[in-house]
Amino acid sequence: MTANPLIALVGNPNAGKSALFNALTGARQKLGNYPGVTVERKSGRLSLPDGRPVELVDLPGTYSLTPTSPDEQVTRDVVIGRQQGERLPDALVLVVDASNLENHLRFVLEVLDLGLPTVVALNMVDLAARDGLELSPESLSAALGVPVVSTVAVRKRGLDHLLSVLETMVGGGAVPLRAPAPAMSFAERRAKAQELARAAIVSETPSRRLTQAVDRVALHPILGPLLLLALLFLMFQGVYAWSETPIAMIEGWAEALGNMATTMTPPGYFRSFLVDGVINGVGSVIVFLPQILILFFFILMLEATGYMTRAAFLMDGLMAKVGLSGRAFIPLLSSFACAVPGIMATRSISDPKDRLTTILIAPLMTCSARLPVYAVIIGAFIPARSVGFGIGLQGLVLFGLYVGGIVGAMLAALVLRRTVAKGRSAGLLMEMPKYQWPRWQDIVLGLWQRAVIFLKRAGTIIFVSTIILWALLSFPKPPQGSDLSPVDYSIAGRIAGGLNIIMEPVGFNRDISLALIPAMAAREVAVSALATTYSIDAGDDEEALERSLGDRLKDNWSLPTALAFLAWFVFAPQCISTIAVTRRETNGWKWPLFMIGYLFVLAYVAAGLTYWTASALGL
Amino acid sequence: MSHNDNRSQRLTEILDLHLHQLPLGQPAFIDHVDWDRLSPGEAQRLREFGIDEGATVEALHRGGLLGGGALACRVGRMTVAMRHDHADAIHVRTGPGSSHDRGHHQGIATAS
Repeated sequence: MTANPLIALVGNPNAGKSALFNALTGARQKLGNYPGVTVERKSGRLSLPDGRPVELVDLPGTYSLTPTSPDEQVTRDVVIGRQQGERLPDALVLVVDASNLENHLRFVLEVLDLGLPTVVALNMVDLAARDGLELSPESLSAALGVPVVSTVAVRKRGLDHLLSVLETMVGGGAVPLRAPAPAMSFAERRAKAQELARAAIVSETPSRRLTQAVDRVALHPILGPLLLLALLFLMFQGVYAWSETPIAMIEGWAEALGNMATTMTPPGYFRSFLVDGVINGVGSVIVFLPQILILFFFILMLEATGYMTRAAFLMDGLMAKVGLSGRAFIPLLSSFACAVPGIMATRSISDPKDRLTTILIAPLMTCSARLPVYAVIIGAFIPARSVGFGIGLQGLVLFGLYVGGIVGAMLAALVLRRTVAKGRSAGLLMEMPKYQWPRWQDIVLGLWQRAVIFLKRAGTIIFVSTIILWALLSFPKPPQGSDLSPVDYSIAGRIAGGLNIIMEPVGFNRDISLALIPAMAAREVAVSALATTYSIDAGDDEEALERSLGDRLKDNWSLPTALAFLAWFVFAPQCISTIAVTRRETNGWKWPLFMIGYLFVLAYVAAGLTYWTASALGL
Repeated sequence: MSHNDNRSQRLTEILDLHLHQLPLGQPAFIDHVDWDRLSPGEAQRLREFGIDEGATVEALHRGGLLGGGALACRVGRMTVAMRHDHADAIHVRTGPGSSHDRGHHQGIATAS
């Protein structure tokens, strides 16, 4: 079978490339990796107007074909046909920001020199118009010698025209290469680009620039940081306040399913496996889907609107003080969702020491998988009352845990930059894109992709570890007349008993020690592990079974223990996926092992300090 | 405001400034850049952003409470963020003939 023609999207970062990719492929996207490098390959299928299928690949954004990062290297290598695992594209779509022609045309000229069939997508013409800029795609096309199509990716405008141009370019056998033009120097290209841009601008009327107006507040020396803080605070309050109703719904379904399974199966191992293991375990994790989606919603919105780089700018001074780049703020903020994409996003940091430090502290940002753990403990132990001004105490504690992680990360960075990752800080150098209102479909698509990943995890890692844990907890059964509880007698209970010798000084009980083991597979398993443990412990006691996990925790744990458990999870060594991605990104086992070690020590000390302090205060 | 105007006036008479010394909202053109003080990667990125001899720049915002030495400036139609170190390597020139009519327009906009 011959492969479909390949079309590659190329362009500067912030040219609206990803929005165009989403608009062209919709939900038919495939995420993968280029072989040998940790650069994500985003591809999708689409049909040309005549019905022929083509593959569209979204190449990493770059400012030139002289790469300064692995991502940019992939883009360069693909367009010159040297990338392993990728064929030379049959055509290129060069995405340029219509309101920043002078700059983007320089890159266009550089890419056109390659001689591949190319169409220029003059994207975001609406934003250019907002800035009072009217352009002539026709004259630009004549000057460049390639077709130029005006598009507004976020409004799906100009896509049909773009596809009809592509239709004439691909297929028909051999790739009609244009004769490669003689290469120009950087300065020559820039001069030519400016000349071309001036010629393409039909009229330019000074107009109110929205971006500048917003930035006057968003980047204001005092208002800016306050706004950022308010946004982050809103984000964490939203995670709690908006998720109540959907969580109650999911809990209702899980309960109904459990009851149904109980009535439909005979009592015994199978019922215990189905109800205690599968439904209780997996259900207790899926319940957190609404909160995770709310968190991702905020992060996607901050990225898509262009605010994220402003946040990096505002935070740069603080980052500089601990020896990091303001750029590290973006991977670190992504790590609030999940450390895996966060660590992958550190590729945009060119300085190796800067990058290593960011990777090592990324797990200290509270990832969304820890949210279920926090939520269950806070729900059980922190009273749901207001502390005034409409601020809930539970949300405040959650906010405090996030802040604890951030402060821990900053201190860790400070130490790491003076010890294992010594070196000059490379600093902050980035473009701040124009503000724009994101297309809701892009946000929905992003949320959908996260939901699928989360549910897949719930269905695989969490499902499997829940089952293994159920088995370890259920066997062997204590003999008749034994005064040991079923859990204490089981294999898991005995392992946890051993582990508990280390954990007891910091206030942990056997159930916690038990939950820590499978939590290495995925953080949220700690919750399902506790749910399964207490479910089995309750045995056939109907009354105990009907009680929620939170109530059961309240019976079995003291407040200092609960607080110590929270403190542990702020710093706890990461899940297997994080360790794996760290190994991949740092090319070896040295750094992931170092990371596990220092995080374990931090978590142990933090849990201990919390437990001893809380106990001393008589909580 | 009048204090700012006076300062701008005074600085306009100084020929050689570092970018981070430029008053906010005052366009200037880049006289020269100490490329040696930047790493090759940083130098390349600055050039890619259009920051090079002869380009017009305008300082827009400085890092605030937590921003430290960061500086946001406009070059062409882009807003670029950089640290003090980078801005210190960029020498700018203000004064007559440097900012064209766009600069004049901006001056009014800032004062209002």
